[in-house]
Amino acid sequence: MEKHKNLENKGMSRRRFLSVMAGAGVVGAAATMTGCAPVSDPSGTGWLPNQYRNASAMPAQVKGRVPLDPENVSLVRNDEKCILCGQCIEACEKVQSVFGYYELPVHDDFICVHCGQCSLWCPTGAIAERSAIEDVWNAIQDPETTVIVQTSPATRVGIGEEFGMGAGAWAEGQMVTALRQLGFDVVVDTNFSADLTIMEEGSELVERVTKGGVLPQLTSCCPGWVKFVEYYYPELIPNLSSARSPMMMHGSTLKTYNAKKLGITDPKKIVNVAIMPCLAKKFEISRHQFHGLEGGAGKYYEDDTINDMDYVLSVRELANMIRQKLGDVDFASFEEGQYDQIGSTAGLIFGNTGGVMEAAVRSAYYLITGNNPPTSLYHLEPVRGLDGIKRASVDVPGVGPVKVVVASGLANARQLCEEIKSGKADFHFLEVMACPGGCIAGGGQPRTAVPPQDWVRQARTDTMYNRDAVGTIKGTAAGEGAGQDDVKTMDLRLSHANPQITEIYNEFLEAPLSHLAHELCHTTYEDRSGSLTRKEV
Amino acid sequence: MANKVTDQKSVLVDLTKCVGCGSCTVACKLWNSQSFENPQTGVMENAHGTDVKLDSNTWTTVEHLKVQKDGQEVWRFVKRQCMHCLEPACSSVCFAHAFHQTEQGAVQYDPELCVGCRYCMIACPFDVPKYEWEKVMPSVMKCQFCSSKLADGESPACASVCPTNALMFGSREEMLALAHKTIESDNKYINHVYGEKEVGGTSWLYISDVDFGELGFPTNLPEKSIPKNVHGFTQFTLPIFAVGALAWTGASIYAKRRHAVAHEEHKNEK
Amino acid sequence: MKNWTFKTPKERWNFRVTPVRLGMLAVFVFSLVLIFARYYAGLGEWTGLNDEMPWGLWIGADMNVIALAGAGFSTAIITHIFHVEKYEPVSRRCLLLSFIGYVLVLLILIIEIGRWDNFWRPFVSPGIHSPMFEVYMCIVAYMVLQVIELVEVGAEKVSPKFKKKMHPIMQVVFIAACTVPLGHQASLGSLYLAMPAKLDPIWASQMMPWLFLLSAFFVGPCVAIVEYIWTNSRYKMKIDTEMLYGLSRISAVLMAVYFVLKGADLVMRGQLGNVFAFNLEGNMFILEMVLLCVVPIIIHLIPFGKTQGGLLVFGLSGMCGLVLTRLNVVFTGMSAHIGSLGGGYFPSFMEIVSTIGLFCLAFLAYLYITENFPFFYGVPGDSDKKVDVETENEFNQAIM
Repeated sequence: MEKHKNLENKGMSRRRFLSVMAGAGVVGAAATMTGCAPVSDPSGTGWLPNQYRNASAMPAQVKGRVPLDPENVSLVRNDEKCILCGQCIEACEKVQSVFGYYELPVHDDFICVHCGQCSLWCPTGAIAERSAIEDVWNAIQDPETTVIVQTSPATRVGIGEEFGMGAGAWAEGQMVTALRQLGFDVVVDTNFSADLTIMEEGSELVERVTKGGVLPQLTSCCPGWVKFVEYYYPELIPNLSSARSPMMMHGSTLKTYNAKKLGITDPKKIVNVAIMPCLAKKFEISRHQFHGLEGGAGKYYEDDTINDMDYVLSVRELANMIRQKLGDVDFASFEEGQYDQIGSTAGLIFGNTGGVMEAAVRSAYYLITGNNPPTSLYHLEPVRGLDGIKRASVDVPGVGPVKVVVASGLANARQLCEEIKSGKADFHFLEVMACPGGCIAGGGQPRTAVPPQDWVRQARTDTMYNRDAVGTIKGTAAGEGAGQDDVKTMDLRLSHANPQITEIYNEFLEAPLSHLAHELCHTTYEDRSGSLTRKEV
Repeated sequence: MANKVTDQKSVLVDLTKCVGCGSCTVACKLWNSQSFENPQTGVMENAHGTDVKLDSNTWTTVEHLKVQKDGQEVWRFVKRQCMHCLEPACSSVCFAHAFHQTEQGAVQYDPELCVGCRYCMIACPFDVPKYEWEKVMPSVMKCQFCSSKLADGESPACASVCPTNALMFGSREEMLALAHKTIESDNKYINHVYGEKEVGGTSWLYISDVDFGELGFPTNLPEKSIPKNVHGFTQFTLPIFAVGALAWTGASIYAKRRHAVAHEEHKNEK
Repeated sequence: MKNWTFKTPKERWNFRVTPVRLGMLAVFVFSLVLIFARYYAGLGEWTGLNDEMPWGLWIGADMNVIALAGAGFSTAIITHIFHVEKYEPVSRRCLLLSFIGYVLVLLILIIEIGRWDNFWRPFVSPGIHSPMFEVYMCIVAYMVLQVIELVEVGAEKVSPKFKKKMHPIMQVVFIAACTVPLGHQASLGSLYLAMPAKLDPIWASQMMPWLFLLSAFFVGPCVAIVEYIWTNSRYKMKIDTEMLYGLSRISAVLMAVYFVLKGADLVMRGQLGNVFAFNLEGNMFILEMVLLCVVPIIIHLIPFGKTQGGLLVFGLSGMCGLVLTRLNVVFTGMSAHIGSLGGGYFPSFMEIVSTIGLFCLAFLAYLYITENFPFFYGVPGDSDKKVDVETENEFNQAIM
C-alpha cells in the first residue's frame, strides 16, 4: 500500500504541476496588467565622450581613432582603455600627415610609419609599444649568449623622468649602471654609431655635392621618416642617404668588428638590444633588408640566421625592466657608470631636431677642407630649436654656400617633399625627424606630459646642447680600455675626431663608403606606394 | 507589436571607407557598459581583428578580411551587428514576445520576458543573437540599435564615432537615396545595396566594392521576409482547428450512426 | 487464481523491482545529478550547445518524442472518431504512451530552456506569430485533454461511478484531443519555415508543416504496432496480427501519399538533383525516405507483412524513418550552415546521459502505470481480448 501511495502522489504532482503553471500564469497576467511586471531595456546606460552626445546634425569634429594593424610590430592598443577621445587621430593626421592622406578604400596595408606619436598623445595609455621585455629577459637569462645593449642619444635625457627626475634630466651614468645591474653583458653607446653615420652619410653628401649626385640628400636615420618616404614619396627614394640609421650600423658592426674584439667566435651567440626613444625602431629591425643574407652581419658571415639587430626596447620599457628587477629604486642616486664604447657629443645631438645636421656640417667641413670647422659651426643657431622647418646656409671653402634644411614632424616634412617634387627646392641637405623635436620627444620616450608639450621637448633639447657645449663624456673603448682623457674636449664634439671611429676604419672598415662599409653601414629602400593611393594635397 | 515604426532610422555602411580602426566596436562597449571578456574563454579581446565573432558581450565587431580585388589581395573591414530587419524574424518567432520594434525601427529585446528557447538565434537570417551560455540565468544578447539614443534624436554610438564617415546615419529613405547616389557616382561600387531588399529589408544598409558573398554576408536570402514565410503556414492555424473540429465531429456522428445501423441490421438478420 | 492481476486489479497493486528496472532507476538518478549541475553552472558549462548551434540533442529528442507521441493522436482518431472498435486495445495504450511522451518533452524542455523560471511568460506575453507559441499552447491544451482521458481510465479501476459521471463530456474531449494535435504536429514543421536560407533545400519547403503532420499521423500506427507486439509478447498475451495488419494498411496508404507529396514537392522546387548528389544531405534524405516509406510499403505489400515479424519490421522501419526525418531537419539540414559559421556541435556527456535518464524515467512510468491500471484490457464489452496470462509465476517471469 505504501507503494500505491507513491504512485498516487506522482499522479497528483503532475496535476499540481499543471495547476501551478496556470496559477503562475494568472499571477503574471495580473502583474503585467497592473504595470508591476519588470520591463527592462538592455541597451544604452553607459558612457560616451561628450563630443559624441549630440544629435547627428552636429557631428563631432574630433572622432574615432587611428586604424592599427593588430599585427603592428611597434604598437599595440588595448581597447579596454580606449575612450575614443580622438587624440591619436589628431597626432596621426595633423602632426604626422599620415592618416587621412591616402584614398579609401585601403589596399593591403594599415598605413602606419610606427612613429608612436599616438602612444604619446593617448591620454589613457591604450596605445602602447609592443613589448619586447620578455624576450630580452630570456636573452639575458640565457648563459650562452652575450647580450649587448646600445642606448640611443636621446634616452639619457628621458629615462630620468620615469623615476621622478625633472624633465630633460641628464641620467646617462645612472642608465649605464642600471643596464649593467639588469644583466646586460656589454653596454655601448649609439652615439658611437652616430659618429659612424656622420662619416658615411657625410662622405656620401660630399660625394653628391662635389660629383653631382642626386640632391638634395635626405637623412635616413629616422625609420618613421624613411617609411613615410617609401609610402608617399617613392620618387624621393634616390634622394635618401643610403646610410643606415646609427642603430643598424651599430647592429652589424657589433656582430662583426666588436665580436672579434670581444673574442666572441660565434656571432649567433650575440644578442643585440637597443634602448630607443622610438617605436619605429621596432619596425626598423623587422625590415628584411637587415635580416640574414640581405643584412650586414648575415652577409658578412654568409649565415641567413643572423640578423643585425635582435630587440628594441623603448625608454618606457627599460624603465619597466628596471622596476621589475630592482624594484622601487632611487634611480637618481645611482652611481654613474661608464659605457664600453663611446661617441662624441656630435653623435649625442643626433637625439634632437637639427642635431644630425649640425654634426654633419661639422664633419663635412672637415671632410671637404681637411680642417676642423670654425667655432661658429659648433653652435649652428639656425638649425636649433623646436620650429618645424629650419633653414640655414653654411659657407664651405672650395664649395661655396651649402644650403641645409631641418624639419621635424612629418607634416612639415611633407611640405618640403612637395617642395622638392615641384622642383622649387634649392637646398642640398634635408634632415627629417618624424617626431616633433626629434628623438628627444620620440614615441618611445616617457609620457611626461600628455599630449607632448614643447616645454618638455625644450628641456630635453637644452640638456643635449648643454652637454655638447661641456663636451665631457667619459667612457672606455670597447676591448681596449683606452680612456678619452687624453683627447681634448673640443675634439669630442666632432664625430671624425672620435678615436674609436678612427680605430674602426683603421682596423676594419678601411674608409667611409668602402665595400665593407657599404655592406655593413648602408642599406636599400623599397617602394611602398602600392600599399596606398596617395591623396593629392 | 506595441509600437508602430513611424520614424524608421537607418545606418548606411560604406565598406570602401572603413579603415578597420574599430572605433565603433569600442563605442558599443562604452555605451552598453560591456566587458571585453570573451565569455567562452574568459580572455580579454578586442572586438575587431581577423578572427572576431559576435558574442553576448560583443554586439558589434569589425572583421578584418583579406579578399581578392582585381587580382590583388586587399584588406576589407566588415562591421557586423544586428541588421534590425524591417520585419524581424527574431521578433516574429519569439513565443514570449520578448522582441519589439521601437518607433525608430530598433529591434529591441526584453530579457525579462525571455524564456530562453533560443529560437530567435536559429531563426535570425544573419545569425546575430548570441546567448549568455556561461550564466545560470542567461539572456539573449544582441545590438539594440542604441534605442534610447535614437529616441533622443542621437545617432547610435557606433555611427557617431566613425572617423571616416563609413557609417552614415539618417532616415531609411535618405540613406537608401544616398546609397544609390554613391553607387551611381563611382563605378567601383557593386550595384547592390545590401539590406534594401534582403528578407524584406533591413535598417542597416551596406554598399561595397567587393562582392558581398566574399565578405561573409549571406547571399541566398529571399526577398520575402521571414515572418511572411512563416505566416505562409500559420495563417492556416485557425482554419485547421475549425475544419478539424467540424470534420471530426461530423465523422464521429456519421460513424456512430453507421455502427448503430449495422448493429440494427445485424439484429434483424438474426 | 487465473488472470489474477487483471481480474482483481482493485485488490492488488504491483511494483515489481527487477535488476533492469533498478538499473534504469540508477541511470535516472545519475542523470538527476548532472541535471542539477546544469542548473547550478549554466548551459555553457555542461552542454555542447553554442552560439552557432543553439539547438541540439534535446530539441532533436523533443521533436522526435512529439512526433512519435502522435501515436496517441492517430489511433484516437481511428477509434474515437471513426469508431473502428477493433483498434481500441491499441488506442488506450497509445494514449498513455503519448501522454508520457509529452511529459518527457516538457521535462527535457525545462532543462533545455535557459530561463525555465519564465516558462509562464508566453501565457501573459503571447508571441502569437510564433510557431513555437502554437506548439506550446497546443501541447499544454492537449495534455490537459489527455489528463481527462487518463482520469477516465484510472477511474475505471478506482471509481467506476466517477467514470460514468465523466461519460457525457468524453466525446467532446475526444474530438478536441483529435483536433489540437493538428496544430502542434504541423507547427513543429513550420518552426523551420523561419530558416529558408539556412536549412538545406531538400527539406526547406513550404510543405514542411503538412509533411510533418502527415508523417506524425501515419507513424502513429507504426508505434502502436511495435508497442503492441512488444508488450503482448512480453506478457504472453495474444497478438492479433490481423488487427495489426489492418492498422498497418492505414499507415501504408498514407506513406504512399507522403512519398508522392514529398516527391512532387522536390520536383516542383527543382531539388531532385540535390537528392541524388551523393552528399551527406542527399544520402541522409534517401535513407530517411527508404525507412519511412519504401521499406514499410514493400513489406506491407508482400506476404511477410502479415506476419508478426513483418509487422514489427514495418513498425520499426517507420519509426526509424520518422526519427530520421526530424533529426535530418534539426541536424543534417542545418549542418552546412553551422559549418559555414565555423561552428560545430556534438552533444555533451551531460546532454546524452540526461536524455537517456529521462527516457528511463518515462519507461519506468510506463511499466508501472500499465501494470497497475487497465491499459492492456478492460475495453468494455470486449471480453475475449482479456489477458491470457496463465499463472502468477508466468507473469513474473515475463516482467523485465
